[in-house]
Amino acid sequence: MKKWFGLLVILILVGCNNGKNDFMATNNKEEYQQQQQKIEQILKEDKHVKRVTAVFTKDSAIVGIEVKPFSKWNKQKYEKKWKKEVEKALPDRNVVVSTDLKLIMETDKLAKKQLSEKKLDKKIKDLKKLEKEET
Amino acid sequence: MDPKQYDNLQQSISPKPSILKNCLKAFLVGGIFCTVGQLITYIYISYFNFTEKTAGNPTVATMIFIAMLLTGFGLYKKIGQFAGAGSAVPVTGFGNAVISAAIEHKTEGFVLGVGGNIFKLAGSVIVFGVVSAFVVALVKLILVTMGVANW
Repeated sequence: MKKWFGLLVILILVGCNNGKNDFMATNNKEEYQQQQQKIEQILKEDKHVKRVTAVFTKDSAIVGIEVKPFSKWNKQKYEKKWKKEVEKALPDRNVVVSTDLKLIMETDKLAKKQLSEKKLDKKIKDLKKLEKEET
Repeated sequence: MDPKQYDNLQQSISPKPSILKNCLKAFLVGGIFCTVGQLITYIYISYFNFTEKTAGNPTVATMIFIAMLLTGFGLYKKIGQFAGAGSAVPVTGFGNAVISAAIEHKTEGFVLGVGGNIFKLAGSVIVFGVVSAFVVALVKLILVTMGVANW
């Protein structure tokens, strides 16, 4: 019994430690360093943002924003606001901004994979379509 | 003996239901159902093309399918005896009400038996579901007007 309790405590502690990630994850292309910093600056000031993951290409960008638990009540409102801000910061791009778990997961996957610009553009287009789906 | 005396006598003899214990059981079992539902939602989001917005419908369908299996094998009855409202309030309870009525009246034929009696129990669930949905919508309307949440 005592052994199991100890194991549980260790598991909980390990689980807590794992949550500590960097604030922003991207596909880290040098050409787009400036834009990445711009986005990071915009979102870092906001106290409702937990983590940001983004992928940039020449013509498009996808930004997944993880919202802090108690801020999820007003998620849609914040999403609208962030969408406006990010679109303003990246005026010549086709931008997708979302707080949806699916979009965040897919963006994380895209950031890890080293895909060509063309493929990324297509994936981002697909995700934009998916985001608009209602039922 | 007048009715009042009888009531007093009846109350003093009959065993007291332990409300707190029953609430706790319902809370735990209902919570387990909801955790399973959340798990299924995550599965749909991570392995299929569903977003947070669209994963709700397939999740509900899957939960009802699981409830159907449990009802057919006679396990949901046992869960219901233990948990009470904890197993009746989630959507699985609704599924159980429909399916058990369908199984019960199957011998009376498919039209008058199953068709006529399938909503025997679930009819009340639908009625009160609509009423409580109305109340919940009112609460949300108040929250939205106050600016705490939005639609």
